[in-house]
Amino acid sequence: MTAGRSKKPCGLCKYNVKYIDYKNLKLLRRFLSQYGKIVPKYYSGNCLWHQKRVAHAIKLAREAALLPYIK
Amino acid sequence: MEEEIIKKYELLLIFVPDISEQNLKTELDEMREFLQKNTKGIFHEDAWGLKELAYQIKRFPQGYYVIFYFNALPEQIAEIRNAIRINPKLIRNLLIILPPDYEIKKYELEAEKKELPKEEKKPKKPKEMEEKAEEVVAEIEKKTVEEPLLKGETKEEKLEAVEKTLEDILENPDIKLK
Repeated sequence: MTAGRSKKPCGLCKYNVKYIDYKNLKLLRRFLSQYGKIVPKYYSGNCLWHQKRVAHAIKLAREAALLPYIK
Repeated sequence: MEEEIIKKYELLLIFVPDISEQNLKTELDEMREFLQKNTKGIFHEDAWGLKELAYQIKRFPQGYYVIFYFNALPEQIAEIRNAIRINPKLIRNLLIILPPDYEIKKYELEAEKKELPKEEKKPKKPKEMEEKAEEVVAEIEKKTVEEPLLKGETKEEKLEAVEKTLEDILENPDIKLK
């Protein structure tokens, strides 16, 4: 995993996103897999700061029944 | 330090889908009055209406979504949580702290379905192939009906016809024989 690390930069740092809303399903769906799982950091290219906030927002949306736990 | 710390909060509520409209209005009015007494002020309210849930909650597939945005002191929130806990018409609730820079935005909730333009090309080809196939089949049927393979009525004539067909097969360069 760490050996073949991709060099693409964080897509959210580029636009300087500071707050990720759990209602913003269009953005959050990009970080979900085919079965509704959260995609890991080395796959999506996110930095740690953004990855933690994206994961937190997805978990809130799951509790509010806007996103499923499993498809 | 006697300064009061005021923070922004967001409250999401999901109601049971069996409610009639009058009951919904009374419930919302009660929540609004309760919030206006115990908090510093509501600055926005958003009602989405009936929406399908991603999974069943207590065997209900749909629910009424309502969101309240308000300012409050951190000590008043314990009372709000107590009031929400007792209400039997509520299925879910979410209380969230907002950053001070927060601006209210509207988001699209349902995923847009992509149109598939490839389906239009497929029916053209089989139609042309079907027309050609029909023509070829018609030609074959005409040939088979008009010309029987073995001509002649008596045995001798039939034997001569068989010998002729054998000679045609042997002389034909396209057919390969050992």
